[in-house]
Amino acid sequence: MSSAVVSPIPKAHPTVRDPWLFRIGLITMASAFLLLFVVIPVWTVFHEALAKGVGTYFAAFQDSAGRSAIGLTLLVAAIAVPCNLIFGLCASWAIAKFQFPGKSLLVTFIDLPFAVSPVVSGLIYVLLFGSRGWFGPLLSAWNVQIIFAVPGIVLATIFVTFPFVARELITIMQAQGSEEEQAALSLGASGWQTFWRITLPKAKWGLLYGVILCNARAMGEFGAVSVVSGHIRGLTNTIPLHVEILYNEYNFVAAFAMASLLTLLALLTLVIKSFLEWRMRAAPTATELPSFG
Amino acid sequence: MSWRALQLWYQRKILPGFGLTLGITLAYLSLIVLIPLSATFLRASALGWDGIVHALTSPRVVASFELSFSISLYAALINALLGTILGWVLIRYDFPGRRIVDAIVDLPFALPTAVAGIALTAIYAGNGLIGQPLAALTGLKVAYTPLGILIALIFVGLPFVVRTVQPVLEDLEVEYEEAAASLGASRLQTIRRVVLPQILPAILTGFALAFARAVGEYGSVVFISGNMPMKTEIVPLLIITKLEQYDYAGATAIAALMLVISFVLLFGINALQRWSHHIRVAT
Amino acid sequence: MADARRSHCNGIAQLRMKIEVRDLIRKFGAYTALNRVSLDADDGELVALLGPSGSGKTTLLRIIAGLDFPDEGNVYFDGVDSTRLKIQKRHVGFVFQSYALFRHMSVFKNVAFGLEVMSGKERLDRAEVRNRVTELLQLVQLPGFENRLPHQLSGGQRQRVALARALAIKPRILLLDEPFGALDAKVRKELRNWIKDLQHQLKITTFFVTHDQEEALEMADRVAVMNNARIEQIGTPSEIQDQPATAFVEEFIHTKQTF
Repeated sequence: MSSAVVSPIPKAHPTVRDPWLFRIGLITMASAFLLLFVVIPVWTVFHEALAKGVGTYFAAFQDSAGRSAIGLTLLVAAIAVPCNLIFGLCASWAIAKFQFPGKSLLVTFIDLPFAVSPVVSGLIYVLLFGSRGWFGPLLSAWNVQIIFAVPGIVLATIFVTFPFVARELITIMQAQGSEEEQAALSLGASGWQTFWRITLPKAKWGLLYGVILCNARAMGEFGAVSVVSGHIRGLTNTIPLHVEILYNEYNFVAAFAMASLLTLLALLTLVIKSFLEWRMRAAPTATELPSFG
Repeated sequence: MSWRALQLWYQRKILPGFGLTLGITLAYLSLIVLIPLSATFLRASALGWDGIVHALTSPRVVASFELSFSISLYAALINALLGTILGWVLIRYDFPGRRIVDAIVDLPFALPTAVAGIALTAIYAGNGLIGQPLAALTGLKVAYTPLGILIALIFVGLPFVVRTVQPVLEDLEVEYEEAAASLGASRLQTIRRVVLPQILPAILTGFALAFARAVGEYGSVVFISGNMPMKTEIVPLLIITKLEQYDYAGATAIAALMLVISFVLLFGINALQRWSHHIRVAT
Repeated sequence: MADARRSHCNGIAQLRMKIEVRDLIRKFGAYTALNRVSLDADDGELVALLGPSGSGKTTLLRIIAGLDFPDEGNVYFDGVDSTRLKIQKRHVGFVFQSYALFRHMSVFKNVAFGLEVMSGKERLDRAEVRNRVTELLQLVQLPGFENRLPHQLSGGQRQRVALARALAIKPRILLLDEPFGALDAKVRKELRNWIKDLQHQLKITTFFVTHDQEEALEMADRVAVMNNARIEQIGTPSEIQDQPATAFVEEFIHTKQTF
C-alpha cells in the first residue's frame, strides 16, 4: 500500500480529442461529484461555525476544555511526528541504501498501520496496557496510567501515523540512488557527514512532504484516540474528540468552530503539499547522463 | 553461510550505519506495530476456536459485517467509476481552475474524519442543505440510514482511485489511441478497447485501497449513521460498543478478524500494484 | 605510507604511489567477475583497463577504490596491505561514470567537499579551502564556475568538476570509470588529450576503465587488456599492438569500433 501518491502535474493532451459533448458531460459530472463531496462539506463547516455570528465563533475557543483540547492535540503531534520522523530516517537509510533478505517483507510491515482500522489501532493498545490488558496489573502496581491517559493517546497516534514519513523517504531515496553517497565516502566523509551533507539535503522535499501528512493525520486522528482516551473532559480530549463531545451535547456552533480549526489545518496541508509536489518535480535529476559536450 | 562470508557480506555494504539503522527500525517496528498486533491475535486465540466462532456469529455481529462490507463495496465501486472519470478529466482536459480542482481531490485524505462526519450529517440531516430538499422531493432520507453511510464512505475513498489512475493515464502513449482512430474506431470503442485495459490494474488498485479504507472507517460514519444495531451499526462502532460494555472477548474476536481482512487486503493491494507496475514497465 | 614521495606541480602537491594487485578473485554467486587477476602500477603511470563489457574491468577498479572487496587476493598501496581498508581511509580519487556530482551543491561546494569533511590536524581554514578550489578550477579550465549548479553544466564540464573534486583531497591514486562514456566524439577527443596532459603534469598514478581500444592505446602508458575475468595481456601500447599475446588481444585491438 503506498502512502499518498504524489499527484502528477495535470497537463492537457490536445492530440486525441474526445467529442465536445462528451467532454462537457464528463467535466460536469466530475465537477458535480467534487462539489457534492468536497466543496459543500467544507463550506458547511464554516457556515455552521459562523451561524451565530463571529462573536460566538471566537467564544468557543475561550472555553477551558476547548483550550486543553487544543493543547493536547499540539502536544501529541509534537511527540508523535518527531518519533516517526526519526524512525523514517533510520528505516529509509536501511531500506533504500542496502540490500538484505526480507527487505520487502519489512516494507510491507511498515505499511501495516495504513491497512488497519483506526478503532482496531486503538484497541490493540487497550489489550496491552488497559486495566485488563497483559501489562495491566503491572502498570497499576507501578501506578502508571497509559490507557485513558495521555501516553495511550500518544501511542495510538504514533501507530496510525507510523508509515507516513518512512514511505515518502524510502520512495525518494530509492529513486535518487547511492552514487553521490559513495562519492562522498571516497572523498573521506564519515557516515554522519555523508548523511547530513548529501542524503538529507537531497531528500528534504520528500521529508517535508511526509512530515506534513504525518502531522495532519496526527492532529486529526479520531477513531484510535477515541478508543484509548477515556474522553475525560479537559484532560484526555484532543480536538476531534472534543468536537464529538460538543456535537453530542447539541452545541453545534462550538463543535463546528473547533472543526473549523482542523479544516483550516487540512486546507493549509493541501497548500503546502501542492507546493512541495511542485518543488519535488522541479528538482533537477542528477542521474541523467549528460548527452552533449 | 560461513562466518567469513557473512563478514564479507557486511563489509561490502560500503555505506556505514546498516547495523544501527536496521536495528532501530526493527526495534521501533516491533514495539509499536508487531508486538501489539501479535498480542491481539494471541488474546483472540486464547478464547479458543469455539469462543471465537461464538463471538463472531451472533446476529448483531453478522449484521454489522454484512452492513460494513456491502456498503464499503458499493462506495468503492462508485469511487472507481467516478474517480476514473475525475482522473480522466484532470489529465486529458484543460479548463480554468483545473489545478485547484486537482488539489482539492486530496481533501478527504487531509480532512479529519470527525470533521467530515459532522459536516456530512449537517448536510444530509432532515433539515440540512441537501437533506431537506431531497426529503421534500423524493421522501428519501439520508442521515441515520445506510444511504448516509454510503455517502460518508464515498467521501473518504474519493482520492484513492483518482490518484492511482492519474499516473497511468499520464504515461499512456497517445499513439495507440491515434492508431485505433486511424483504423476507424469510434472514440468510445477506442476508450473501451485501448485505454481501459491499460488503466484497469490502476483502477482495481484504487478500488481495493478505497474498499480497505471504507471497511475500517469510523469517524466519518459514526455521526451520520445513527448507530442502530442490526440496521446502521458498522463494525468499528460495534467494537467500541463491546469495549464499553467490557465484552473484551467479543471486541478482540472482531478486531482479530478485521486484522486478518486488513492483511489480506494489504497483500492483495501490493500484488495489484506490482502487476500494475509490471504492465507499465513492460509497455 | 612511510616513504611517500611528493612532486610539486602548479603548487598542487601530489603523493605518488605504487599499486600492487595480487590474485584477486571476485564472484557474484555463480558468476565470476575476477579470476586471479594481478597487476602492478608504478609511480605516476597511466594504466588503462581495457576490455568488452563483462570483462571485469570495472569490478577491478572498484576493488582498488574500496567500493568492493574481493573474495580472495590482496591489494597493496606502497607495500601496505590495504585490501580490507575502508574507502574513507584509502585516500583515492574516484571519478564515477555518471560523475555523481552533488546535485544540490554549487561547483565550489562540490570541489571543496573533500576538504570540508576533513577532520583534525589536516583541516584547512576557509581561506585555504577557497584558494585550493580556485586553483583546481583553474587547472580544469573552469575558472569562474564556482556558483554554477551541476544541472547547469554540460557533460564535459561536469566531468572536469568531478575530476577537480577528486583531486582536491590530494589522492594517492586516481581512478576513472569510463570517463568519456557519455560524451560525444568531438568532446571525447579533446578531453582525452587534456586528461593525458594533466596526468603527466601531476604525475599521479592513474587507472582508467574503457572499452574503446583507440582511447586506451592513445592515452595510456600501459594497457591491461581484460576478457572474461582475466587479464589477457599487460604492456605498453606498442607492445600490445605489435606483439599481441593471445588471439583475443589481436582481434580486440584490430577490430574497428564504431560508435
